[in-house]
Amino acid sequence: MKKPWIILIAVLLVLFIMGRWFVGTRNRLVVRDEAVKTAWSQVENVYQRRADLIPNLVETVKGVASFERETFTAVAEARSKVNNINMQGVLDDPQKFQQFQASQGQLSSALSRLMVVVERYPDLKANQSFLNLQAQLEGTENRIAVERRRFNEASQGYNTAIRLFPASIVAGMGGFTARAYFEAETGAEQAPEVQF
Amino acid sequence: MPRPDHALRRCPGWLLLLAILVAPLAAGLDFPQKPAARVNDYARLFSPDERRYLESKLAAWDQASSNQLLIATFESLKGEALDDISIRIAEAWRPGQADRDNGVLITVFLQNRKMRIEVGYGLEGVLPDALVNDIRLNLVNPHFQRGQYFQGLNLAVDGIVAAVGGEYQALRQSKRVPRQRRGGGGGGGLFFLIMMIILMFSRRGRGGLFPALFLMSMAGGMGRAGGGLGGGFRSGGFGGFGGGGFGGGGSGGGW
Repeated sequence: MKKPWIILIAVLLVLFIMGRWFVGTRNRLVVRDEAVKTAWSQVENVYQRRADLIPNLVETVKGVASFERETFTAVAEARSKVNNINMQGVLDDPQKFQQFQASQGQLSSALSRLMVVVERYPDLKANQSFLNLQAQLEGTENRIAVERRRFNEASQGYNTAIRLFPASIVAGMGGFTARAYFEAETGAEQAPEVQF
Repeated sequence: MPRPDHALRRCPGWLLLLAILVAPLAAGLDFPQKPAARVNDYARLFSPDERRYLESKLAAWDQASSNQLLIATFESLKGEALDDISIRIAEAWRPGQADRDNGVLITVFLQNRKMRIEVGYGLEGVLPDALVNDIRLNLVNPHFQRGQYFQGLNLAVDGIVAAVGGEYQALRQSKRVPRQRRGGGGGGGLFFLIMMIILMFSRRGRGGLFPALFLMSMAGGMGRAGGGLGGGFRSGGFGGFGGGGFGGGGSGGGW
């Protein structure tokens, strides 16, 4: 008499536990995914901060070192490229992400070439507004490094979480896909050499 | 035949274990996960009086404004990059209030002749990079170049305090009490208790206790797994430190 009742309860119990686990795991993945997105918006912020800094910087340098045409053009071109990137869905598309990283990397190297070139102009190094801009640029580059590292940590944590069994089942059903992350840029760490 | 095979398979394990054990010793700078004081003079740049003077000055500033400035001096960078190690120390020590991010960290690396002033998010407005750079170049460096570390850092502290001005007010005492974190999912436990009782009584005398206990423990584990993330992330530090966020603002360089 009592047996069907017990089986029913047992089945309900198992279903309940599984459901609870499923919801818990899914929520955990959502939290991690949101952390990746938050970290990404920080990355965008600091890159934007750098792009905003460039017009002032170029104006200040131009006033003193007007001969360095090529360097200015390189910076201006790299900057407009960066501004024209369509940021929609960068996180979901590895190719777009790579593009973003490449054009930001181009801007980085154009900027560091500019900063090497200005070493030749003692007038600039005595110019207070240039020194301020230089400090701001250094600070912004540092912020970029920090936010990139944090984004990478968040992204790698999320990617690991969606691949680990048994959470990978939930990730597969819930449409959680791996996020891209920054790779170390070749040659970005070293300052470019300038031939005299 | 099986023996060498066995030995071969074990070898990488040993190597891995060795690598794990040795890696922290070989790689880079060790710093404590929590600071013992506001002035952490590992490089012994200050006399005891100088250290106490800075310590009480910083404590008074904290009392008056809730801004937290920490100082850490090290013998050397031990191969680390200045920017990277400084932000990592700032992330570990987290000076500043959690909801204000009003912390500052000054790191000094004696042998490398490098120092950095790391500014928390909440103070970036009053301590922009250019200003911090000025403080470093004009107040700190002239003294550091002559080996007057206390004078340089004391001026840096004064400069920072002056620049921050009245950006933040003192905390009310009640805010200092650390908030207790409560584990969620209390309702689930009650449900399973009821289930267990039903199971036990319906299976009278037929060993029903063990399956029920097993289910209980499983359910308990599931519940915890869901709620664990994020707990202890902003764990408080010594004497109310801890909680301030940093984003790489500030200025660093040689002297």
